[in-house]
Amino acid sequence: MQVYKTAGKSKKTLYNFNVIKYNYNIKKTGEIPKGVIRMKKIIAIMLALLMLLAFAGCGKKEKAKLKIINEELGAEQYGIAFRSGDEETCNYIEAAVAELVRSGKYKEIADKYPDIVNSLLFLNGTDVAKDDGALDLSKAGSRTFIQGIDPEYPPFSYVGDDGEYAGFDVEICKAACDLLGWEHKIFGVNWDQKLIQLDAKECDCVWAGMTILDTMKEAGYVISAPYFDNTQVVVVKDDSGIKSSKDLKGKVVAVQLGTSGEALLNGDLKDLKDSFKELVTCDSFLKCFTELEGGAVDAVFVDYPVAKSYIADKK
Amino acid sequence: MTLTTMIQKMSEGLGNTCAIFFYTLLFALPLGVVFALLRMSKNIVISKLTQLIVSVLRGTPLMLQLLAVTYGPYYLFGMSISRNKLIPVVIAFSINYAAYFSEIYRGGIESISVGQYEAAAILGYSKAQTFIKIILPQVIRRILPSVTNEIVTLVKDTSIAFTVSYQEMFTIGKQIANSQTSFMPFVVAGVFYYIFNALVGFVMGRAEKAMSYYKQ
Repeated sequence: MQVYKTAGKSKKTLYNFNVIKYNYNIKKTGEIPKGVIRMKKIIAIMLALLMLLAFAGCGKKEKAKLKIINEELGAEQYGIAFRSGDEETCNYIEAAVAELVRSGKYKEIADKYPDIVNSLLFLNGTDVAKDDGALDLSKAGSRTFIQGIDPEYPPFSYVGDDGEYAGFDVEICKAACDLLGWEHKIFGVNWDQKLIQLDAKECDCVWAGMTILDTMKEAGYVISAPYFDNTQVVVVKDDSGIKSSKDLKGKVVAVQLGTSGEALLNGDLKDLKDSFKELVTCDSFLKCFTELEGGAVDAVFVDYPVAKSYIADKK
Repeated sequence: MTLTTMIQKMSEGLGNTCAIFFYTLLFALPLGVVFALLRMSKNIVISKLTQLIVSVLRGTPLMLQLLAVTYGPYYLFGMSISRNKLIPVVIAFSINYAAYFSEIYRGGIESISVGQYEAAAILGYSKAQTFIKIILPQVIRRILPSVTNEIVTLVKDTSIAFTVSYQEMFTIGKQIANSQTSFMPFVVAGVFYYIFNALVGFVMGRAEKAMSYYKQ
């Protein structure tokens, strides 16, 4: 036999066929080995156990204690936004809300939300509508009225324990629609796209703890009379040692994208923002609080009623 | 806000977008090889287990995996959430993309005909030599177009990282769009993504050319 130097750089005899050791694993068709079935069962059981563990973990874990810093950082008011040129809808809604206030239904609903009841303007003597009483509610006709809400904004609008949308704004809108004989529907908007979605007629109004901004009026949106006095506050962990907004220097602060808090930090409170180490924007305020509790951020910049309701909920 | 400031602000976020992109490629490309080899293992337990993992990773949304990796440890075990969001983001992206890459690799490796293994054996190549010197170069050449596909998708998927409050370019675009009530930032973001992908396409095209040293 002759010895060749092969490309593989190892000396081997030419006819040393060693092909048999390559087992190409050609399977018999049609049959699943028993071992595979058993293993699948085991994996399924393991996954089920993991899921149970996850649920159990969710149930019993104690949340970190949060507190609101007693410092009002920006006063603003909530209102309802309608498409530009849609004064008629706005007037009907305002008239219906005025009627609810007169009949006491408004107070009845508001009493269910103790965190916000004190700041509701209509219960403190402010007039609701510009042309109060001039409209005949029975002539509102029949139509579908789609309320655009942020589904993660308790206590104004959120998904309730029964899976249906709930909250103060949802209940008031529903009651107003009942008065007008309109069919009430809800559409969960993407908060940072809310006005675009309103323009696209995906909803007929944005009504979910929405702060009235000058830019909205400049852009031509019809804005209802303000119904709620709001302030921006800072929420921190109870044991963080942060006592005022001055202590936020060099800290990481979270805010929800598209909220008035974000607008404020980029506007009037720019100096405060520049003192932060970083301003993180989240897609919902619930995520901001999760980040705070999990220690990823030091403080959350949020509307007062939302903070109050969230903290009350956790107790 | 002028267009220049807008572009400047968004370019600052582009660094974070690139960080996801490069780190994900750095980890996902090799991890995909590991997945592919485990998947082709002769040990049926290892092979089926890898198959299951890959099917879960491919069968659930990337957004869900991002949320699970970032907030899962906190919700389940009360561990603190990472301050540097890049870490959970890259972990989630890497394992997700590794799952896709592994299937591409497997397809490539299995497309090589048995005859080549036999020929290599006759010529006296060892198993490792056969794989590295004969199979792998052909596999890389064959899978390059599919890998380019995935890389292009990766560039666009980086915008999903906002789900876990990671501040990348598109997030900053959204912030500006919001405060300025303008659509312009989205146009800028689209141009950025397109340029990024054009670069990826160019580089991968050159790579394909470099690999085409022989025609089949």
